[in-house]
Amino acid sequence: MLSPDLVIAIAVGYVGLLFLIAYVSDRRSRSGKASFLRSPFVYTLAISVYCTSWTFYGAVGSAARNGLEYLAIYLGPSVVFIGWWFILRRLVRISHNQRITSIADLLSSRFGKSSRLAVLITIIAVIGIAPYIALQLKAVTSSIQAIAGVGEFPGRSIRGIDEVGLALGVAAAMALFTIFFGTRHVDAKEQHHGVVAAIAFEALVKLTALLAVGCFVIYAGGGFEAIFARAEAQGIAVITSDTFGSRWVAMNILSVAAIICLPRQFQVTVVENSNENHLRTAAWAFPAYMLLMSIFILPIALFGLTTMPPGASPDMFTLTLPLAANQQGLALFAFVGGFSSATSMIILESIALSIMVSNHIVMPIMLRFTAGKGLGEGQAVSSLLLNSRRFSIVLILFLGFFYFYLTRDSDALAPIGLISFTGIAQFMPAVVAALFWREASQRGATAAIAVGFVLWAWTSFMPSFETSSPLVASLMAEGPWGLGWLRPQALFGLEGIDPLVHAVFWSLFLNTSTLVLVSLFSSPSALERVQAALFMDLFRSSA
Amino acid sequence: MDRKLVSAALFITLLGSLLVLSPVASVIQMQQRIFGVPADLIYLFVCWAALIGAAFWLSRRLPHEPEAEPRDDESR
Repeated sequence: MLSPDLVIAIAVGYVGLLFLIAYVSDRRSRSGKASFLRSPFVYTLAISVYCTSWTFYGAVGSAARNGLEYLAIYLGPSVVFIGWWFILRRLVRISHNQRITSIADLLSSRFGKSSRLAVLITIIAVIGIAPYIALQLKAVTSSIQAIAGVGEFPGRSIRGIDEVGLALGVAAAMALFTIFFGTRHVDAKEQHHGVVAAIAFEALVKLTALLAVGCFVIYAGGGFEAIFARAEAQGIAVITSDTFGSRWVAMNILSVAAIICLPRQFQVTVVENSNENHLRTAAWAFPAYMLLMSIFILPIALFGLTTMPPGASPDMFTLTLPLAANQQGLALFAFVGGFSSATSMIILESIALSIMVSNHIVMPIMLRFTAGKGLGEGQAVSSLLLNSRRFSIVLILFLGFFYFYLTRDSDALAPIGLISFTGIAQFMPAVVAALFWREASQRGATAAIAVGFVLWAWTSFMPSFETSSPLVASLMAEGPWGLGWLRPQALFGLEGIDPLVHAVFWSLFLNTSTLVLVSLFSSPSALERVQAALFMDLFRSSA
Repeated sequence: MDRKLVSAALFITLLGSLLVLSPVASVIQMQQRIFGVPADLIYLFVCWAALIGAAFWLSRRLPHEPEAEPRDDESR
């Protein structure tokens, strides 16, 4: 068995390597020597930060539990990138023209530079991402435990540290790394060439690691056909008849929204884009990357289900299958791959969120307090900005840890991620309206996002505390004040459908309706009209 | 010609979403296997690969907008 100390030392060494890559790339790009950093392939690999430990570990678990369903998370984004001409190209063009720095900035800019809207979006994003960060912490924690051989013996722990302590340690280390990575200097365009280079490197590591485990499983299982045949012989439903039902549609909608609205995806795809034409490469290369990532997921899941002892967590098959075959080198590689997928997500997501928090919440407050006096020299502003980002990064990771702590009894990874996706998807109607609907108004967008957020919090976020809070459990069983039609998973009497579909339907339906109705019944301000025109007439010649 | 290419891009995007979402996918979902692998799994991956191929072909031909000045960082 690999010792915990060795595993942790390798993880720390790997992060050191990442830091070195980021540092060298930053220096080279500032001296103008790193033309490869501006290649479309580095851009595409950075976008692959979309594949987190949800993909690396969670997708296998999801495939083991629900079959083909895991593919929806990658098909939606593929379609968005294949249709880059229609949405992504507009987003990149607008953001270049308007110097947009985040999804909050984008919507606030379109809707009359509304700071209220920017604050609302930032707060929702920080809350909505907490489960997603928790998922990464959970995956890293479980992977350390699995590889150090404590997974099968839940009583034992690494040198007396239990799961919660380990997760706290991981969260603290991640906060520290992210602060080192992302808050060394302030860039007016909010671009981080060094971080992007490190993320691109991580994309290669996690892809090769997953492919290596996949090839090993195909080899050990005697080929695709044998793996499927054995699974079927053991009574595992290889072919299910309800894959393409409402859940499939809901997950596709969520993943389409996520690839556009997730703060880190907006950061890599739009803000870090240095050349619009890079989208041409990403349009096919990113879907191809995701195809490669998902090709072995189902075989790994089925092979795990047939060969591992019952009760082994399917979320950890990527790691435990090589371990069970005593392939320690491969297991270590798989661990590094999974660690890669988690660190890239945490680093980039918390950088993107911290930019939103500092630009839209901390700085406006500071400017108000120091009104008339000024903030002093540029140096002081920049250090204030950096400190507020450091503080936000710590806050974001703490929220993630806190969510992990409260929901640590839930076993599967993928459902946690879907909670975040549903929350972030509440920005999608406003984004589409911002790009394509001139009459959409600031009041409409603000009301829509607020309504969507409340419904998400009620139908998706709160129910995840059912196991840890008796209050939530009783709300879910009886509804508030005994009002059965307000039950979080049977809202307005809509019973008997999948909770995910229920939450996605109500939140996005009422979100979009509010957006349309309030926009129709309110009149935009002059500034809103100007901004709407800028967004609408993007590709019209300025003559 | 450019307009036709943009139309083709829109067609492929919409077709792609229909192929993986609509009843088409359910029709494929027969209880069948190809080389022992469930037909719906093969169907999704084949669609996916075909869409990637189409996107590869199109992305090189779609018009380059004249005012698309690359945001270059040489000055820094």
